Amino acid sequence: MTENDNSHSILIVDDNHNNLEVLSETLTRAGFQISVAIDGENALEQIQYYKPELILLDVMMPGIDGYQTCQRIKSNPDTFDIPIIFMTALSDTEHKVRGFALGAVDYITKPFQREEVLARVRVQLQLRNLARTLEGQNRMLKKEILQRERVESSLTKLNQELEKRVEERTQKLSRTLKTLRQAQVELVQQKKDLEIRVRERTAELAKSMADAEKANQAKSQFLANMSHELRTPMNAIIGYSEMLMEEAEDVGQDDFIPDLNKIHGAGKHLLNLINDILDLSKIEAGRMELYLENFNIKSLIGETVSTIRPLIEKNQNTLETNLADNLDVMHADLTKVRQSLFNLLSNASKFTKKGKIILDVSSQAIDKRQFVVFRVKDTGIGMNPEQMGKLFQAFTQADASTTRKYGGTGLGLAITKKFCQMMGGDIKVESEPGIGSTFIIHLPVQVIDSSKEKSSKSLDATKLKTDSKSGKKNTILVIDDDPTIHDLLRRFLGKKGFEVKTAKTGAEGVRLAKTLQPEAITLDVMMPGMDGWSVLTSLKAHPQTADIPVIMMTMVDDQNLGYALGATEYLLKPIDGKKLETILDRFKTTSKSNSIMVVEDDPGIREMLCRQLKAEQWKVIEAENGKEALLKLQSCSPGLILSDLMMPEMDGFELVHRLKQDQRLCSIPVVILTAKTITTQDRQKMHGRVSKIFEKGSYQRSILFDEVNNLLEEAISRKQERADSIAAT
Amino acid sequence: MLTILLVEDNEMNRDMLSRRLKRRGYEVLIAVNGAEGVKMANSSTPDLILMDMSLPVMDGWEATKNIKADPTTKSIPVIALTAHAMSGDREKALQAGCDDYDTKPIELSRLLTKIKTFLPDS
Repeated sequence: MTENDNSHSILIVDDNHNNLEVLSETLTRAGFQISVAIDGENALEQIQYYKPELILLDVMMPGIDGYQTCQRIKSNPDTFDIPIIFMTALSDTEHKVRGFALGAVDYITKPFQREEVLARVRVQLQLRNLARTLEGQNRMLKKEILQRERVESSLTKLNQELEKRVEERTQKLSRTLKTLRQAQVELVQQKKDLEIRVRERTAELAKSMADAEKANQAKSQFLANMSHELRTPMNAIIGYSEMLMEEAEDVGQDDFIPDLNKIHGAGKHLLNLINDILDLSKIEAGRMELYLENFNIKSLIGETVSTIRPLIEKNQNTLETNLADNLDVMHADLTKVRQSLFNLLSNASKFTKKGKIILDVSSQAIDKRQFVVFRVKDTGIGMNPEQMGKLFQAFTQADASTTRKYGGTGLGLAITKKFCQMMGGDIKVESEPGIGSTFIIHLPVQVIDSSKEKSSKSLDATKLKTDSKSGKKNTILVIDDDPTIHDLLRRFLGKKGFEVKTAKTGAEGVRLAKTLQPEAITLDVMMPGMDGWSVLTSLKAHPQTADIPVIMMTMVDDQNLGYALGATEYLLKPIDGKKLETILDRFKTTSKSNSIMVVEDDPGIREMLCRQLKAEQWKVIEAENGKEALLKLQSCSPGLILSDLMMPEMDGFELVHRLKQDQRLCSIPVVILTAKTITTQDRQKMHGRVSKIFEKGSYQRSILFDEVNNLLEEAISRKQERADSIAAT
Repeated sequence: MLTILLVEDNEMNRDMLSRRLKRRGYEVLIAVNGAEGVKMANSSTPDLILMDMSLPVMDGWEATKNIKADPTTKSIPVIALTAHAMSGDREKALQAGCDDYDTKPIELSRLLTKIKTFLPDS
């Protein structure tokens, strides 16, 4: 039921028209909306259609009286809340009380005062408004409360749900955590298992390696034994048949000789076969090693030619040898080169009859590297392409029948090819049937044993740190009376990044050494005036120059010969204990071994040195001279060798020379003890010694330069290591 | 007559070499192991020693070293006879103190040339 918008509508119920009029007028004038009813029924009817805000109700009326009307109004839920003010003349308390009991809100007695009526009406209306407002607010509040309650209950429900979910999640997490912990335990266990397995596997591997190494050793030992075992009876067959032939000749029984010769020949053939098979087995087992050394090519050719001559003449062939002029020394495996050459020449002799064999030896540069080329050309039976294809394969001579006809083992070329390849070279063939064959071997002049990973270190001054103070390039001082040598060394070392300064005399050299403080000095041994030794002693005697590394060398330009003394340091005698200590300290930091070899023939000096060294916790190996030193060096590898120069049997020169030739020993640093005062005799001896070694070990210039290279590098890098280790402490 | 001490453990090699050297006019003394070789070198001071390198009791290197260390015998030239099965045999022989070496199988003419360099008047 909608509230009527019109403000303040009042229903007046009175059977007295006068009253109705007066009241009506009064209230209308006060601004109220008025509707009237003349009796109770009328009023009730009106109220159905139009609900007033207040009813002024007369008590005494015909029909239903006021009280009844009031009762009816109050019992109707639609209308019970309308404020009713009774109007009546009956003013006694009993009626008033009755009226109030029925639900009236007020009572006006007749005759009424207008003002009083208005006032009471206004008050009641106010009250009613207030009541309604309150009701409205109440309802709103109730609504709000309901809403709140609903929200609360939702929240509670949500909360419960959340708690349930949290509970579930927590359980899940704890389960996961448990699983993870388990997994972790398992992982730790697996790790332990793996470690055990790794350890086992490593042990297995180590054992396999040890086994393989043992097998390898066994193989090598077998080859060595076989070698010996097979050759021994062969020697007997060959030797005895030779001997018997000699003795038969002696007693005049010449007719035995052809048969004995056959035995001899067969024995030699068998021996060759055995040697070739053993060689090939060794190569295939990977046990064939290179033994590199310097040797003179001309001498080798001479030797080989004289050995092969009988074989050549056997088939009435001629041998022509052509050697290039610039051939000199080569650094290779002498035995293998000899064997290969011999193989080619012997093949040429075998397959040529009454023909010509030419041996050409020359040098050639291939890809900036120097090679020696051996060419053996014959006018023999030659080969067709098919035969050439099988040539270098083991166990197939070009044709099986040729073995029978021409002899040989069919293995020679296979071995030769392998040898050439091992040394970094190769062999090839050109041939025409009926015309002849040409075999060409090319080998590096400087063979490098790649299996030992010993690459010829090329000195690169840029790799070495420059002097941090001056920031300039490493300076080398060359002291030599021959200006050509200055030029050569300047060009060579300059290319390596060095600054080369030169001095023509010993005196000038010493002066320059003091002012320049070079990184290293090369010193010519054979100089007129102040010779190399004097310069050396002078340098070592002055504190400013004593620490500069000196490479003693000498070169004879026109003969392409040169020699460098491969000593690392020089110490003056009588030996200054402090100086010795300084040198030892240097080697302490860089050497791995704590043993020193002392080579000195003077027992007094030797004893003193040993004492000092032992005091410094070095282990000392003594030798009286070079020969003894080398002998002892067979079974030891000291970290340093201190050697006197002048000794009997084998002097310091020879010792150093020999050491440099040995692959194992060449890296041991050598400190030479030289006398402060050198007698003329000694000097002559020294010069003589040097020139002797000169001849023995004379190098081609390039090889010499490389040697100087290496010595310089060693000396300078050792200096740097020292400087670094000092800086690091 | 010049004396050669032959130190060789193999009977056939010994036989062959000693007979052939005798035919060439040398007096040949025999030792069958390194120790005996050293002893005989000392007692008989031969003019030359041919030393096989692989010997029982004391090997050729050891024997040579001993001979070269003894003032009585150190000047006797020693020629090593090596089987040359391994590389470095030659150098090893020289370092042991041998004056020269030859490889087996022995080629008599080659060996004789080497002997003659040490004993020129034979």
